[in-house]
Amino acid sequence: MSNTPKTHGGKRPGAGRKKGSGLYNEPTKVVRLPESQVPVIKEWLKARVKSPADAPELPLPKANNAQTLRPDASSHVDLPLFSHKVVAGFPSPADDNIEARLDLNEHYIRNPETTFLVRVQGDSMKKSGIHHGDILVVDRSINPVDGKIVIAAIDSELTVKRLSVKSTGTWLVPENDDYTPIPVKEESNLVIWGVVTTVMHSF
Amino acid sequence: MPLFALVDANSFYASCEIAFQPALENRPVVVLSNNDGCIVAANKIAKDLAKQQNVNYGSGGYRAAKPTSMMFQPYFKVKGFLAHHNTAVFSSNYELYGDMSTRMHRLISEFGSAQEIYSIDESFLDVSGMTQWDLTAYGQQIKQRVKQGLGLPVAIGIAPTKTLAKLANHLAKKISGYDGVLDLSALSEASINLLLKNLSVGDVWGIGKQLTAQLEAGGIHTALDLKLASPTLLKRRSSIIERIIMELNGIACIQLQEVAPDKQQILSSRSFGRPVSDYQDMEQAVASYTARAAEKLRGQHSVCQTISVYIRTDPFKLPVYTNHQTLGLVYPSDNTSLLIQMAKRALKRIWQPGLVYQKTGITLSEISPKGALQLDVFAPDPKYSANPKADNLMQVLDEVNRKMGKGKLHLAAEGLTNKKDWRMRRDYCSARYTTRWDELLTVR
Repeated sequence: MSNTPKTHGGKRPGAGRKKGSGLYNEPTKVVRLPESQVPVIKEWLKARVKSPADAPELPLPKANNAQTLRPDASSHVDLPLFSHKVVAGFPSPADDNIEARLDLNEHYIRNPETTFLVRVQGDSMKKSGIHHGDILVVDRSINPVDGKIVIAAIDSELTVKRLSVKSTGTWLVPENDDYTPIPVKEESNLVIWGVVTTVMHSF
Repeated sequence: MPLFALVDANSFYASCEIAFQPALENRPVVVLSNNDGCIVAANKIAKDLAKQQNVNYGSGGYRAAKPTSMMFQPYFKVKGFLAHHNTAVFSSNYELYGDMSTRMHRLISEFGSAQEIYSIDESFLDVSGMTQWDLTAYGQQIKQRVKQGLGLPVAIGIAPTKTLAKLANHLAKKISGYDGVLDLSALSEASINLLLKNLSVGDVWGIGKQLTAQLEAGGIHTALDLKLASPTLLKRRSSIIERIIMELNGIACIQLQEVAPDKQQILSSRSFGRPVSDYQDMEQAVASYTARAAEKLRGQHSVCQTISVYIRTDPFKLPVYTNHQTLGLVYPSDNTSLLIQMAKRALKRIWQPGLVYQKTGITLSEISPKGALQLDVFAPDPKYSANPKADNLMQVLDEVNRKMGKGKLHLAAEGLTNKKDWRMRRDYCSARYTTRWDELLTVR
């Protein structure tokens, strides 16, 4: 193939009608229209050419009217939101003292990441106010020290008891006279799972 | 000097199970994939068990499966062996793992000036400017905090680049002498090189199976070989390799990505618990996966313009049939009703009666941020796009499901919950201890 520019055939740059040189002074596009609406659109375009500013509203059929009247969603305006109703009469004296409501989580859960809820089965801790069916708030990040109520894993079972660390030994102490304290022997595999911070009891 | 710490949980899924059943600490524990298909997590005891027995699992299972390891092997292959060794076997409890993951990432975030959540069980932390600290001790502190607070074991790798931090993490887990924490920034160049020499090139972050083969063919076998390789020596010079080599040399090229980029494609697919041959069951499954994907789409405040449905039969049973159909939306949308409608239409076009299907999936693509809608005078009314009424409905749907649990409120097209035969099989699932009131851990 030679590299000499073509002189015959094919598309030549700059040929044809110039873009925007037509009736409307802007580039045009081919569209499909419902046959019945062709005269309507043509009429409208004719009016628009005469004086674009005064062109009548495009009188499309009824069903489509709603569509053309839809608000333009491409921009938005922020309106200030007033949180108080405007009251005719006395202003409420409490208005100045409105605060956020109390949130139970805020009060009972100090470390949300390490706090878990567990359900109690049985009554071994009855005297400390922990009953069957209660839900305990357990924080695993608190250090288990003597006197804390803990969730302990001993012999493959999770249990709630008071931890007693004395010079004579370590015990898991129930708070119910029907139960006896569990001694934690050297060889027993005790894991303190977490420290109980709150008991939730419904009446 | 930038400094990164990679905190990564050890056998995360298995560790989550153990965290709520401390008695499992001394037993082998494995977790199975969707439909209880393959092993996706195993604690150290289970992994060691398989090693000691020198079992050869042969081929099969996931692509990542190796004949020498139990990981990613099909469950049926190892079932007997596991039972013989008193192994605790669990189905994937995504509700529990998801919640524990969120807790872990939040807990870890206190320890760095910035955090990148890299995966469900991995976080990069920016610990630059802490050079005057003993970072190994700092790492131990992080490890201790996660162990006590959540009962999860983690390992920590610290280094001047993310690629090296990844390797340090790998070594911290592998070599017991490090006790789960390795700070490469405290080591001399010679010691680092010695460590890299013992790692294969495939262990390096970003070097996949294919690249490994290519590099090995070029005589690069260890991480050290790659570190010392000149990028120009490689046959096909690629910027990815160049970047990895720089990173191995301690020059940080990959920055911390604090905000995860929005997904460009949302996929929701799963094998069925039981094969499906009924059109209605298939339609429900498709609707259900579409609803999940649409929820994810709204979660990242995006809209999509294409939906694609894919179905296939069991590839090991004749006749094999697989097909997919993609449909475009007139207006970008995030509306579950519309997307389900489209998905059903796509399914109708590819459904072949008389076959037994094993899997379906749906993909949402051409995703863009939800914003102003460009209206088209000649298109039909966009009932489901930028329509405040439809949007409100979707918002309520998401809100209810967030509060009451996944799938509580759903479209009728997805079928009734208790009739979903095709749903994922999770025969060995533990309780959702942290997300359901009626499944709380019980203590005596």
